[in-house]
Amino acid sequence: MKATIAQYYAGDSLLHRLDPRAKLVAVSALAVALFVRDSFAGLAVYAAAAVLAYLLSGVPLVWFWRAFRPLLWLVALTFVAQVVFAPGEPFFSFGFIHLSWRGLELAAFLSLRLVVLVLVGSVLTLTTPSMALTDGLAWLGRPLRRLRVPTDELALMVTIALRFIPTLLVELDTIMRAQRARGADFRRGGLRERTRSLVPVLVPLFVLSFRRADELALAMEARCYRPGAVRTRLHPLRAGWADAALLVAAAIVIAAGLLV
Amino acid sequence: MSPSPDETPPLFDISGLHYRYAGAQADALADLDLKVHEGEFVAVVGANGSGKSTLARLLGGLEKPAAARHALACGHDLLVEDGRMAARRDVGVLFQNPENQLVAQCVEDDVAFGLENLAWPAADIGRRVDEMLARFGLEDLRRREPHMLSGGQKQRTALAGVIAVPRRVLVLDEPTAMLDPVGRDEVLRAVREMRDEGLAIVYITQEMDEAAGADRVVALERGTQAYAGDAGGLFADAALVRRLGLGLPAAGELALALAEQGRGLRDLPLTMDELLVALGYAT
Repeated sequence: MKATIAQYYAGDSLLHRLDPRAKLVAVSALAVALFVRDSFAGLAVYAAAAVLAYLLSGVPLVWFWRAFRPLLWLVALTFVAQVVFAPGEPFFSFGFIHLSWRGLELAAFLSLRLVVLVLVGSVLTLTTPSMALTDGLAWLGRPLRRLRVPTDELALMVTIALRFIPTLLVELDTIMRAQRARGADFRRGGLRERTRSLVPVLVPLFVLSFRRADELALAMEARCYRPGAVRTRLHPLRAGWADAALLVAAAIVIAAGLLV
Repeated sequence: MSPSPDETPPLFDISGLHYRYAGAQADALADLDLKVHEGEFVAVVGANGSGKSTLARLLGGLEKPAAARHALACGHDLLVEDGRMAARRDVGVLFQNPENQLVAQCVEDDVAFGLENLAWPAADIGRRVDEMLARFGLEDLRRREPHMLSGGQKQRTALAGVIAVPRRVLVLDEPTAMLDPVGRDEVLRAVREMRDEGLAIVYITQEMDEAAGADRVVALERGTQAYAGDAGGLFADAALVRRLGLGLPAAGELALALAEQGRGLRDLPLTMDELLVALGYAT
């Protein structure tokens, strides 16, 4: 069983070696620009940048497809909704469906925008281990510490949560098998019955998770962890010229997309 | 490596230790005495609920004793908060379930965790982590995620993480209980190496074969000390062994079975080597 969120492709491309903070900033800025800009020309610039990033990442296309697949229905839904409900002079009508060139154009634009967004986001998560991502986010969130937001502790929490997702999935599977062996059926019945049949699965999962959390906390204390204490890292974040170059390139791409 | 009780102060010097869980009717540990010296390997045995794991947590400075005449770990007073915090640096504790000890998303980051908490400089952490990975044969797994490791690999990673922080004494709480035979052998080999290097170890176990080789054995019964002495003395007392819900090492069981067949041995062998010698197959 494999978690699909924040999946990482181990590689050694230029993008893999970039600082997660630079990548986070560049990708976030590009995402905002994608939503601000509403012309095909701008979209084309950003799409070109996304494709270039994909080529530089050295990640096989099938990995992108895997990240993209769960969102396929969202893209399809966006497209259909736009085609059917968009305004404009219809060139074809059938019942409540009115197809217009304007509607088709809008649908294509919005779906493409979503695809580019997913592509850009996937380049980030596929080339950056989740631990580096959380470290980057913690660093970027540092100003919040003035407001007493414990950013480092939050980052460690996220890291631990991600670390335990596969463990919990295995546990969930074990519990469901155990319940099935005792006659539980998770597939039959309406939504209500199915939801109810999950209760005997979730209760033990929660109980086990709390026990795990207790033991993990103890093991962390045994290794001298103290919340709020100053920590160092095995791999501290180090930004270099390549990261500055990435930010400059992102700024140029964004500006180009806004101006064309 | 011979213990020198008179020269150096003991690593653990515990006397009259009590501990009770919140809301419990009885003490989980009562009036416990324990001394462990440099280089010693002390096994702690006892049935479930006898207080073994509680003892591990107290020795590691992870719980506050309810009372004690004195309770020193590596010279740190376990009765006060500062002493317990200091004890956590010198006393390494490895727990039973390896899955619940791994914090990080890959092996090398997990081994580094303790040193990161002590704010070592990155370069020093890197050197120490490399050393630990080499020592426990984990170099090829350094970027491996915990859920992709075998049980033995997980426990070796956890052990590497525990002793990455330079320790004066180790407390191992049933470190092989959740492992398959291969994983158990991996961990036992690592433990034996540390023992040979002279690191003092308190080894908590339900496996009598693992206890048989200890310098000393302490048996717990419902939170009190029921026996303290060498392994031979414990296993020779059949009534005590039965009362404590223990068993014999496999070699001892075999010797008893032979005795029932009329081939009684003079001394109870505790290891397979001793058994072979007693039967005349080896010298």
